[in-house]
Amino acid sequence: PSPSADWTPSAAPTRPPIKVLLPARGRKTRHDPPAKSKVGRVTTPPAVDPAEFFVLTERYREYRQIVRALRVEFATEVRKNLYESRVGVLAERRARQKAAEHREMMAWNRAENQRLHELRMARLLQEAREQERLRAEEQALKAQETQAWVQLKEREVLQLQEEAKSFITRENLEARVEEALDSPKSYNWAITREGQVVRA
Amino acid sequence: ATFLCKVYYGGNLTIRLTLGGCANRPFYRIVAAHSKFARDGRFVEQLGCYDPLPNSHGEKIVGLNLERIRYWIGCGAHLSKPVERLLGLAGFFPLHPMMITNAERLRRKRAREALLASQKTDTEATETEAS
Repeated sequence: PSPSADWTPSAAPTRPPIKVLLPARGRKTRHDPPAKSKVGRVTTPPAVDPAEFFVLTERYREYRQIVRALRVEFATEVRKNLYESRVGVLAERRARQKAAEHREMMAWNRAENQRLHELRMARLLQEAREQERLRAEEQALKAQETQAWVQLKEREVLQLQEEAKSFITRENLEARVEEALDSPKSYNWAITREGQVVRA
Repeated sequence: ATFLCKVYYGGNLTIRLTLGGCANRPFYRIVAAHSKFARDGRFVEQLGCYDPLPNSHGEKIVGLNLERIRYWIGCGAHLSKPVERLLGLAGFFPLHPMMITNAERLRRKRAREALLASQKTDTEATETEAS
């Protein structure tokens, strides 16, 4: 059964008008119940001096007025700074300076590119010429080599032709054999360490 | 939201004191932070410091970055009571009414005590004269 259904004004327990407030600091949390020693405790607020209270309210009113005015002033200052940083004289000047700087840098960059391009073209031409020269030199060397080779081969052929005159053929065979037999050769010779022949 | 970039509902930007330091040696930093974050937790910007213990010359040092405080108040930051008191003492804000009231009450109490002490000495003097 819910307690609210049985509740009647006369049956409600009478409570003191001021409720026991739990202190903000201390070992008890907000869910801990008050102690048994504090059951009948009735807190009385401190006495208020009406003159002092009036003076205090006036002071608070003035204080809050001044603080509010300061807040408004600071807020307008912040807004003004924001506005000026975005759309101000200084901002425009800075933007113009930045644009001019950018244009200068782009022009300088283009000039640099042009200069380097020209240098590069000159260098490439030079390199091409060098390459041509080297290739021509190589070709000359090769032609020289081939010519030397051809000459060597020609000389060899001529020498062989010369030697071929003293070859032994089927026709010369009989005559060369008779000639060899008619001319005896002596092999009685020695050779020293220095390479001199000794006949004895 | 990532681990440190939590998003809270409600709450506002507040300029308040964050406690640091060691045991029996507090040290406060004046900090702009969301009001729902922990006292010593994530903050937006540090705007100053306050040393509650007096130094060897008997001074309590307070550092305030007034430019940034102006900016954050202009962005709509709330202030906690100790920060308001410090700014009032610094002269940036008007003096807090409770500070003036407490000073007056203290002065009145001291005057009352002095009066009581003088009255007591007067009565003692008259008693010694009578005896």
